[in-house]
Amino acid sequence: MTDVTKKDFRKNNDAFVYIITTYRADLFRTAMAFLKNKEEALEAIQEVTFRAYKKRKQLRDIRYVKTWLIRIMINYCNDVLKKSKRLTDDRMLEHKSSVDNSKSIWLEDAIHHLKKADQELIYLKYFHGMTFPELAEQLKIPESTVKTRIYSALEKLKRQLADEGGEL
Amino acid sequence: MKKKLDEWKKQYDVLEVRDHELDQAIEAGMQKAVKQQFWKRWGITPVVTVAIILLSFITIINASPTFAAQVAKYPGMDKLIELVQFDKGQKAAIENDYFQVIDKSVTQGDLTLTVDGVIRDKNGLVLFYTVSSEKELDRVRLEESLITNVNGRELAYQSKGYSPQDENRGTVEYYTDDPIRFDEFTFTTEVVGVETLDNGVGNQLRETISIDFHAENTKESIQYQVDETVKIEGQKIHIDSVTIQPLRTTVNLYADPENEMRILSIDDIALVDENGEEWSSIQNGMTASGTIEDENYEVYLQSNYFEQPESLSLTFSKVQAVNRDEDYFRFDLEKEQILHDPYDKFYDLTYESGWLSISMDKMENYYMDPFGEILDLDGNVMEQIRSSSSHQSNQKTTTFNKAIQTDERIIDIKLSGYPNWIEQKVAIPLN
Repeated sequence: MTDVTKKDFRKNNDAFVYIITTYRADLFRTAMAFLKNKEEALEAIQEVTFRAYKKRKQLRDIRYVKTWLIRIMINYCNDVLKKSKRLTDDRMLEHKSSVDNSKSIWLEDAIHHLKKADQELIYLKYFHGMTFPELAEQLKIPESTVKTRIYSALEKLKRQLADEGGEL
Repeated sequence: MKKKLDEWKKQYDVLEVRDHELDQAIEAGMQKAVKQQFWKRWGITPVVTVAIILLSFITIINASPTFAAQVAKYPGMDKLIELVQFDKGQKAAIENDYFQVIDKSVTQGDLTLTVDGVIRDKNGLVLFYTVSSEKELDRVRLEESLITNVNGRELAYQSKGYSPQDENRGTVEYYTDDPIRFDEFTFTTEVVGVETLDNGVGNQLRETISIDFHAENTKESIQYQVDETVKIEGQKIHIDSVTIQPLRTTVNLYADPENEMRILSIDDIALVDENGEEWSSIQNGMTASGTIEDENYEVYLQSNYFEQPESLSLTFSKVQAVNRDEDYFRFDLEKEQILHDPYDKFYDLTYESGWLSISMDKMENYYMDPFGEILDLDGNVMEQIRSSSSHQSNQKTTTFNKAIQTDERIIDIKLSGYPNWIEQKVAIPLN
């Protein structure tokens, strides 16, 4: 990935900025999937930079930094959505949206209703393309558990889409 | 299902954002992270332009015996001392028993808010609060606070400031233009904290809590009508009046619009008693409101309401000023050159990722943000979505930074502060 060490990441602001910059597009895409609006997604980048900087000493291993940053982003986005209670309303309020997500709107809504740990798995696997072994290593859980949790999350999504009339 | 998930992902593969926009956001996050120490946030009605001083240090306080005795009356409130350490007026209010104990708590979800007490006068209300929780919390703060009366009408404030002191205590300050006409209040606020769990990723807790309280104003203002004009190096300043209230002193003054120089700020304005004791500007909060050449301009000083001085004078000696037709910077952002700077005090212009920086030789205790309105060459004001600025110093230089988003190559920035002074000692006795 890079030759930035964990020590650099903690002690050296340039190294920290370098890392965030490396993953800026991944973070932005994640933010857009939740917030749907460029200004808010940029705000999210700012806030996640801030939060990650404050928490940088808690990162266990620099190899996990991408996962760690994406988890902070998902967490922040959930805070924002919780605050504005838009989870239920934003189907109606799409005028500010700059992404055409009309195709996946039900799916996305269902994902955002999963519990946080499952949301993270779905994003990391299907949005950011991580493999089962990678997820197991990054999140420090056995691969079998990762699989079980993802499959059960997918089941929940299927059920929810069926309930809401979306096709399977 | 997999196909659907794949479709979902693809929608976000192409996004209309430019790298420099992302970089600017990262930069802004860094600025915030690096400079966040001891801070205050002020919400201000839009008509008012203000000067705010931020302190970036915490001093050890020496409490007087009466103060300590007074504080000991309120169990668990010794931390009050820290909350008022920068304000002689608020400290005196507590010493003189003008602090009103409320001590009411409300719990909602995992968060408990306590209103410990208030100091109120005719035009101000300072509320002392504590947040507690079974859970371990970080970044505790209040947001969207409002004060209403029994009829649900919101207090019309001129300024509102949050001052979180440590992890769970702080003050919220309200100041009004018109006298506050009621004694029964409801304080409603969002209480926010981040759980320190889960590998530091944290889960935000947020609850809206309301607490009713009763607080009376029993102190009349002391007003001195001054109506004097003073001249400093030929520049006129009109002083109308001085009004002393328990929470702060308001000096109503303005610079003459006909002056040859544009006055930017009166740096060392203070009230002084017969022993030479000074009550100077508000140290951590709003220091002035209005436009300095407007008759409604007000400067705020720490209060000496509870003192009984034999004599009292309004004094100042150092006034920031620049020639009237030179009250701006002109910058070439593309070539990173300073084209106009009235007294050539600044150098090393850089403009990168939406941040402009200029530096000056370091001066002790001078860190006044020089940047005012941003104009294009036709004189149109360019509004900025984000207004952020910051400064940092090393041994030799102080650097001021400001976020500016523009496609213009050459811009003007009006000065809001500048290290050039006209000096003359002024002392106006108040009777």
